[in-house]
Amino acid sequence: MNPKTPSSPRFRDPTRYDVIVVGAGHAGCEAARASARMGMSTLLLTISIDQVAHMSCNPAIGGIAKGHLVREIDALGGLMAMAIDATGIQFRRLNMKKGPAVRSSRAQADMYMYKSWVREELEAQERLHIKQGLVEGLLVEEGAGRSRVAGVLTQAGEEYGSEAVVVASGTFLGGMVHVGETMYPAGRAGEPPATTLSRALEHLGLRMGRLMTCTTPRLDAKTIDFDRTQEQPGDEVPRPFSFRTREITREQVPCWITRTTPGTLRIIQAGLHRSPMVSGAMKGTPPRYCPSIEDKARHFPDRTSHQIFLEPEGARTTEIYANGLFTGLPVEVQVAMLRSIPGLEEVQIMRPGYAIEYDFVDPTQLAPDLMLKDVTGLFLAGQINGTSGYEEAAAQGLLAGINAALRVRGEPPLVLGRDEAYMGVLVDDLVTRGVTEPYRLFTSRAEYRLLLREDNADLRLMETGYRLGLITDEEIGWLREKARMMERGLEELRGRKVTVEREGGARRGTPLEKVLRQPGVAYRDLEGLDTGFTPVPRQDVAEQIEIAVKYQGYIQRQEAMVRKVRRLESLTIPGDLDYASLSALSREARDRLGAVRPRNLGQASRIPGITAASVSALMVYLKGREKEKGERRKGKAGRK
Amino acid sequence: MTRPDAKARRAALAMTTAQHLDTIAAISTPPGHGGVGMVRIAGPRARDVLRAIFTPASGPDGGPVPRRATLGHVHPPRRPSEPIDQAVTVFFQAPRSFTGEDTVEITAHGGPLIMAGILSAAVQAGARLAEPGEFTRRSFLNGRMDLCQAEAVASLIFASTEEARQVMLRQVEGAMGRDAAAMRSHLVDAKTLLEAAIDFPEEVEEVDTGRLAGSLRAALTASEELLRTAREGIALREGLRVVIAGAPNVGKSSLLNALLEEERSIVHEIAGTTRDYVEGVISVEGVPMRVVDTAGLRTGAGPVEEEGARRTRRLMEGADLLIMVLDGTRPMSREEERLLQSTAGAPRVVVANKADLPRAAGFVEPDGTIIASALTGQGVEELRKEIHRVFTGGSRALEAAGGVVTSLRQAEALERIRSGCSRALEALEGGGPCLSGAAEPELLAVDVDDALAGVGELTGEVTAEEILGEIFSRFCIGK
Repeated sequence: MNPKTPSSPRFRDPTRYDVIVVGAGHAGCEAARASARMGMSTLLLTISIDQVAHMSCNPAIGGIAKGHLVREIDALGGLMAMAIDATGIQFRRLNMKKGPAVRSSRAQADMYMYKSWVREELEAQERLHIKQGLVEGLLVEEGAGRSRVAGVLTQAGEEYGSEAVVVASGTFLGGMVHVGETMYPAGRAGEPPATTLSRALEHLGLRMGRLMTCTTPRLDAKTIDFDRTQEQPGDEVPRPFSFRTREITREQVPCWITRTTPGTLRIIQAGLHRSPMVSGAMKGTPPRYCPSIEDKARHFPDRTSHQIFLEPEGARTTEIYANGLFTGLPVEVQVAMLRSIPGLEEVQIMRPGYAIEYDFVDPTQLAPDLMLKDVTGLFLAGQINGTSGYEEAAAQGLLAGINAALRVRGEPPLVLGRDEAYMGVLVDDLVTRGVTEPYRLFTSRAEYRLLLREDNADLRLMETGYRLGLITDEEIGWLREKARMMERGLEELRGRKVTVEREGGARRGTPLEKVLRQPGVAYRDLEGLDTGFTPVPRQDVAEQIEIAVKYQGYIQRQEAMVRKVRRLESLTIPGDLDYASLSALSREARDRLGAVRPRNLGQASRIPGITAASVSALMVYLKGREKEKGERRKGKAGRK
Repeated sequence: MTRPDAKARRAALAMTTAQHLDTIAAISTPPGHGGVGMVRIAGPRARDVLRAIFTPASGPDGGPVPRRATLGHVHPPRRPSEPIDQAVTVFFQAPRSFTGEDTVEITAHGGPLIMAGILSAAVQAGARLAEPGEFTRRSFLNGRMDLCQAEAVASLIFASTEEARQVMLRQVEGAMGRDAAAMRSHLVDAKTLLEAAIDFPEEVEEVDTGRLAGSLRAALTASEELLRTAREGIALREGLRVVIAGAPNVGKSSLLNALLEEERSIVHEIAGTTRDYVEGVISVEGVPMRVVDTAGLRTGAGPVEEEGARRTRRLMEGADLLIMVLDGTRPMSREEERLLQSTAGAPRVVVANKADLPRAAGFVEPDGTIIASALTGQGVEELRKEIHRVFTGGSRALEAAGGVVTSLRQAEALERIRSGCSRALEALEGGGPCLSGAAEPELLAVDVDDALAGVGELTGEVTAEEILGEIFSRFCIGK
C-alpha cells in the first residue's frame, strides 16, 4: 500500500465497484458513462460536482481534426456530440472550400448549459454513482513483478474498492497557476490541485514530466464596443455533430473579430520580462499550436497584428472569451494590452488570463488500451497523458472507460488502428511516440486522412459501438440501412450506361460512375443524363456515393498503403524481449525500444529515432528467433 | 571479371540472416603475399577478442585505448608465449567506427599463413567468420551510412574503370544522400504549405500555390536529372553487354580485337570460324562493356553453324547494344538487309568494315554507318564514340557533380519521387479529381506523401512530426 496515503481510513465503503473514475472533466464523464452503460457498477469521483464537464478554456467543441474526433466519439456511443448539439449557440464548419476529408465541425457552446446537460445525463445513468471527493491515493496490491490497482482513497478518509480505476485528473496533478509574478497551487484558477495523487503516481515508479499551458482573459460584454469589431456569424444551417440529432433548433449567436495593434505589441514587449513563460518562472513545455500572445510577439516580431476572436461563453452571460490572447502576463499588463485593441478601449476583465503548469505521466508507459503496462487495472485518460483539448480528452476517456469495462468482463481490449479512426492515431501517437508538449490532434498526423472523414465516422465505428453495447438496435438498423443504400446506389452507377457527348464525337456505353468521376459533374446532375436513373433521396447516402466515386483512385492508393503497413503490424514482438542484448541495434534504438516495449513491428517503426535500418535489424532478429524456436521444437521431436 | 554478382549483393543487403548480432572477423586485405595484411574484427566482443589474442610490447595493460596504434604480438587466445606475428592494432570504440560497433584492426605481415593464423586465433577467442559484405551491412544497420552509400561500397571496391571508381567514391561519400536531402527539403516545403492550409485554415487561409509549384518543380527536376544518369550509372556498376553480329567473314572478330587493341579472338579466313562466342572487356568513356563476338549469321549451312546462329540470336536479344558489322567490299545480301530491318528499333551501331579494300559498287550503307577497317584501325575511335552516343543518347550525365543512379533500386525510388511530383503538378494545374472546383490540398498531399516516401526509400525517413515542426516555425499559429 502507498505510504503517502492516510494511515487509517475513517470510512470504508463496503460496496465494491467494478470501475472507479477519478475526475469528471470531459475524459472522466465519457469514461464513467461508457463503463456504466456496459453494465459496470461505476463510481465517478470529482473535486467539485458543480464543475462536471466544465470548459476550463475555450467554450467550444470541435475544430479541424477535433470535429472528426467528436463524430467518432458519437459513432462509438459517447456523449460529447449530443451534448454540444443540445447546447451549441454557434455552429460553423471549417475548410468548406477544401475536400470532404478535411472538413471539420466546430461549435460554440453555452458552457453553463453544457455542464448542466452533461450532469443531468450522468445523473440519469443507471449504475453510475457520482460523489464529490478529492482522491489522494491509490490502493495498490503488489504482485509478482506487476502491481494491481484495488481502489482509491480520498482526502476525507474514504476508501473505495474496485476492479479497475480510470484516472482523468486533467491539469490538477501538482497544478500551479501563474499570473505575472504571482503564483499559487491550483488545479484550475480558484480550485485546489491534486498534489498528493501526483506523488502517489510517482511512488508507483511512473516517469512523470511537467507541461504548461495558458488561457485568455474573460471580458465583460457590457464594456465592449462591438461596432468597432467585425461580426462573424455561424453557418446559416447549423449541421449537427451527432448522427442522432436531426436538426439544431437553438437560437444562434454571432462571434466577433478584432485585431491587435502596433500599440498592443509595444505593451506586450514592455511587459515580456514579467511573463512567467518568458522569465523562466515556469518549468513545463508550452504547446506550439496554442502559443501565448507573448510567444507570438517574440517569435513573429514582424507580424504587427494578430486576430482576436470574441466568443460568448453562454447565451445568458455577458462573459466573453478573448480567443487568441492566451497569456500569463500580470493583470495590469493584460488590461493595458486589451485596451489598445479596437472595440476594447473601455473593457473590463471579469477573470484574468493565467498560465498553469502541471504534472503528466509519460504516456509511453501505457499499453494501447490506455492501461499502464506495469499496474494492472489502472487506466489513464486525458491531460494526465500529456494531451490538450476537450475532444482529445473525451476520446481517451471513452476508450479508457470501454477498456476498463472489457477488462472487468475478462474480454480483449478495444484498440483502434491508425487506419480506422483518429482515436487510433491519437492513442498510438501517445503510447508510441510520447509527448514533448501538450499533444493536440491534427489531420496531418493521420497517414490515411482520406479514409478518416467526419462523414464516414458512423460507417467506420458504429458496428464496434454496437458490439460493445453502446449503440442501440435502432441506431444500428439505421446505419445498416445506410450502408445497404450506398452499395445499391454505387452498383446502379456502375450498371447504367449512357452516351456522352465528347470532343471528337459521342461516346456510347459510358457507365454513370465514369461520368460522375469527371470534374464539375455532381451526383444530382446524373438525373438529367439518364431518364431511368433516380438519385438516392437520402442526402447522407448521396454524399457517400459521390465521395466514393470521386476519390476512388486516391482512396485505393491509401488502402494499398494500409495493407502494406498491416504486414508490419502483424509481426508481434514478445513483451519480455531484452532489447539491451540486441547489439545489432544502436544504443539509442535499444533504449527507446526498451522504454516503449512496442507490441509489433509497425508500432516499433513509429517510435521517434527508430530508423528503417533498426526496424530491419529487429525484423531479422525476430525471424531468426522464430526459426530457432521452430528448429528447437523439431529437434525435440526428433529426440523423441 | 571480378565483380560480386548482383544476387549476392542483394542478398547481403536484404539482411536475410540473424547472425549479425555477434562478433565477426575477416581478412580485409586481398589474399596472397603482401608486405602487410589486415584482419578486422567488429562486434560487441571485439575488445575481448583483442585482449585474448594480442599482447602489447609494453606488456599486458588495462585494455586498448581507442584510436591509438599499439605495437605488440598476436597469438592464439591466452598463449602469449606462442606469437603468430608482430602486429600493430587499432581499437575503434562504438559508435565511432566503420560499422558503428566496437572494431579492432590488426595489421601484420601479409603472408597467407600469418593472416589465417590471426583469423583462426580470433575465431577461437569467440569471433565468427564474416559473410561477404557483412561489415558494410552492419554499417548500414547501425545508421553509419545510408543505403546508397552501402550499395556503393562494394561497387567501389570492384570498380573496373577509372570513371566507375570516381563515381562510386562520390557515392560512398554521400553524393546521392545530398541530392536526396535537397529533394526532401523541397518536398517538406510543399507538404508544409499544404498541411498549414489544411490544419490551420483560420491563420493560413490559402495555399501559396506559386511557392508550392516551385518546390514541386524543383524536386521534379532534381529527380529527372538523377534518373538521366541511371542508364550509364547502372552500366558503370554492372557493365554493359555489347554484342557484335553480322554475316560470316565480315570481320567481326577482327573488329573486337581492334576494340580490345589486343589479340583475343581467333581470326581466320574461312567463314564460320567463330562458332562459339568470344568476349572481351573494353572501357568506352569509362563505361565498362562486355563485348561479345558471335558466330556469323548464315542460314542453309551445316548443323554446327545453325546452332551457332541460334545462340547468336539469343545473345542479341539479351544485349544492351548491338554492333552490326557489314562487309563494304560486297553488296549486302538479302539476309543482311532483313537483319538490319529487324534490329532498326534496338540500340545499335552499324559498321561497314574493310574500308582498307576497294568498296563494292553495289554497296549502299544505311545512314549513320561507321566506315571502318579493323585491319588499319581506321574508324575504330569513331566507333567507340558512336557506341557511347547511342548508349547515352548524347548526354554527359556522369559529368554532373551530383549523385549518379547506380542501381535499379535507386532508379525505382527516384521514379516514385518523379511521378508523385508530376501528378501533384498536374492536379495543381487542373488535371486531377476534385469535389470543390480547385485542386484540393489533401489530395495533393497524397501525391507529395508518395514522393516523400520515395525519398525515404532512397535514404532516410520523413515524419509527420517534422512537417508539424516546420509549420510552427514558419507560420504564426494559434488564435
